[in-house]
Amino acid sequence: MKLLFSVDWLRSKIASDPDVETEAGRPLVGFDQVKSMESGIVAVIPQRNVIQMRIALGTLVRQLRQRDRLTLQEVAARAEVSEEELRQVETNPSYTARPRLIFQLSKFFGVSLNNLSQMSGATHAVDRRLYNDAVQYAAHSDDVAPLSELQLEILNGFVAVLNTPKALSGHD
Amino acid sequence: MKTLLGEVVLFNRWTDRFDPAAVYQGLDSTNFRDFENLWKPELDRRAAEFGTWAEAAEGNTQDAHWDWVGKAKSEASYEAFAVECGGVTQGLMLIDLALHHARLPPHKGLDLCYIELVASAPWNRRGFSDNPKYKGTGRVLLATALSFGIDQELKGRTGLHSLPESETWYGPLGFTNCGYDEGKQLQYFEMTEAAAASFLA
Amino acid sequence: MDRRQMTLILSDKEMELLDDLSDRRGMSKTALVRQALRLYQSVTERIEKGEKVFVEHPATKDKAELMVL
Repeated sequence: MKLLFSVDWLRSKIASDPDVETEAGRPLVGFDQVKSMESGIVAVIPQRNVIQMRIALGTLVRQLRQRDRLTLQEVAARAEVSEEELRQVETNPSYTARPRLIFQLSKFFGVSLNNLSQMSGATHAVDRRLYNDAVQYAAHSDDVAPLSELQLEILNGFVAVLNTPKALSGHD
Repeated sequence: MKTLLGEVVLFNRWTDRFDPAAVYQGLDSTNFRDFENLWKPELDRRAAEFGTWAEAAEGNTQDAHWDWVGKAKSEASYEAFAVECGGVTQGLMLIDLALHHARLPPHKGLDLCYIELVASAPWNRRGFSDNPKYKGTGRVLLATALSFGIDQELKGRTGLHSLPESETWYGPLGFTNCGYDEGKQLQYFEMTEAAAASFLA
Repeated sequence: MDRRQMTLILSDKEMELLDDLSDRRGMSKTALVRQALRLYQSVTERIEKGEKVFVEHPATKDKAELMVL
């Protein structure tokens, strides 16, 4: 068989191609978004803390949706995720969200993928500061009420924390 | 049997130059050894750090590593390809020509070159390395897949399931996003004959 | 990749089928035989591994198992 492209073609295309991941088929590991575990800033956390993080994640996703005045169906359609999965993430802290859902939500709401992944319990290790901030945020959030002005402020504050680059935060 | 298909290049981000590389059809013990000795320790290390997800949601990650190697070795309907540079396997691809059909008009239902898996070595990927080495394995392997499909008279019709982080790569290359595939839990992308021709132009 | 030639003896009916299929699938007779081999091989392999291969009717969801002897 003959290759239907030349080295010159490759040179010019590779030079102008975006520098992005190109993998297809299946992940070689469960989830590729990874970050360094060096230093004591990240730590391995037990299962009950994973649940706390997921409660915070569910609250965050629901409030971001309320902030943008979108229904569950609308977010599911626009972020190209399944409605049922999204509902599970919002309401069920025992639910393990799949990588793709977290990836899509991170893109859709513009929130750090790395931090969202940690909040979903995808990782053995989490950033201690993120854990504290997430638990604080969840504790100060009303579970069912519509977003008050104060609540919106708390939400925005937490999103800002999530998107603040940290020295060790690696790839988002 | 491993056959040299041709000389290509990869962009070395470290030196800012193109390095000579080669594409092969079929894998040999060097490729399997590279995977075992160079790729897998890196994949396992990351899996150990960030593994619970796969264990909880996807089943056994160990199998995921070896699934495709087994396929490449045992099943004749699969064709494996490798890109090598500096004597090392930099990218791998597995193609299935037998079991997939085009979903897009005007050739819906006709045989299709299905990319079962395409992967770059961990050290070439931003997800794994802060300072990844080679850029271009994805393009080299995709262009090889199209060449192979055309050689087999499938006229460039090509399909694949993109990983979430690569969805932005395939659209601009001429693939149509056909939507979420519940079975694979990934977005399915397909390239028509016309799109393949303009990709290679 | 090396390519070898072989002569194939087919009945008129089989030849017609080959012509018709290669026309419908938009490929030469050689490519069609190659694809048919791959598919047959893939199905055989699955069945040998103990898997079942089905065809399903899209509306009724009726399934028929493919047998390879």
